[in-house]
Amino acid sequence: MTEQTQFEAWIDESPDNAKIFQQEALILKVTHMIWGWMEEKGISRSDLAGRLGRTRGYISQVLAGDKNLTIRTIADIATAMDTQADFSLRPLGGFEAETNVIQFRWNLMPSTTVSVDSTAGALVDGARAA
Amino acid sequence: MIIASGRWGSVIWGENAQEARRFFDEIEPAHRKSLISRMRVFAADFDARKPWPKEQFRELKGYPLFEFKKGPVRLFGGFRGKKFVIVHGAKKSTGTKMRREYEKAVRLLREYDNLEQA
Repeated sequence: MTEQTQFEAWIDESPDNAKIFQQEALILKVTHMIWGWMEEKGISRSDLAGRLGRTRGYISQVLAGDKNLTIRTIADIATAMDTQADFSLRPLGGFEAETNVIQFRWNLMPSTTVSVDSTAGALVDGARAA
Repeated sequence: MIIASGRWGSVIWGENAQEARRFFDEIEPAHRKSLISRMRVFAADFDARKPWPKEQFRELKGYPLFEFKKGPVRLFGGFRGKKFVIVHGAKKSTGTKMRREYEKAVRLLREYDNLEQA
């Protein structure tokens, strides 16, 4: 079999497929960051649900990536976790850009900066990262 | 069939196991598109066994299987070196006995292993 994967063949099929990939990659990135922050800070699904006035099932749906989160919802989740969300845009090109089109950064209020390296999926201390 | 590959490994569909290919073809195109996209992201880092939320990817208790989820679709497979091999799937709905699907996935994964060794 050639090195072209099913994915690559598929993404070449239409611009719509590239769009779907961007959507899914971003969904996974955002949900992974929310989950990573919860793990790092020891926030359980029930805790977060309580802080948001939602059910635990709702949090599971968010983490599953099945919910179409609005920017307001993301901001609410960030606030409930004592963080804030930023995002940036960057040009397409290569794997890095492909999977990091929008990079979110979460800041622990009020002073310590913590960002999430979405490529490595690791939480990085802002001071060290800088 | 290589579904997606990343820097560290590949996600493949173990189609040499009898019946394994059928489910992939039966997945609705809309679901298949988002599944393939997710697997691409997954393949990029899976060799490092980067942890994922259990809502998206988890090891099944009592079965030598991992479950990959997207909406109502569940895909089952296992790690084989630098590959993650998917052999079966199921759409969760009323009347679907997941236990039966897990058992089928275990059987297909075993069949895949035997065919690879042969």
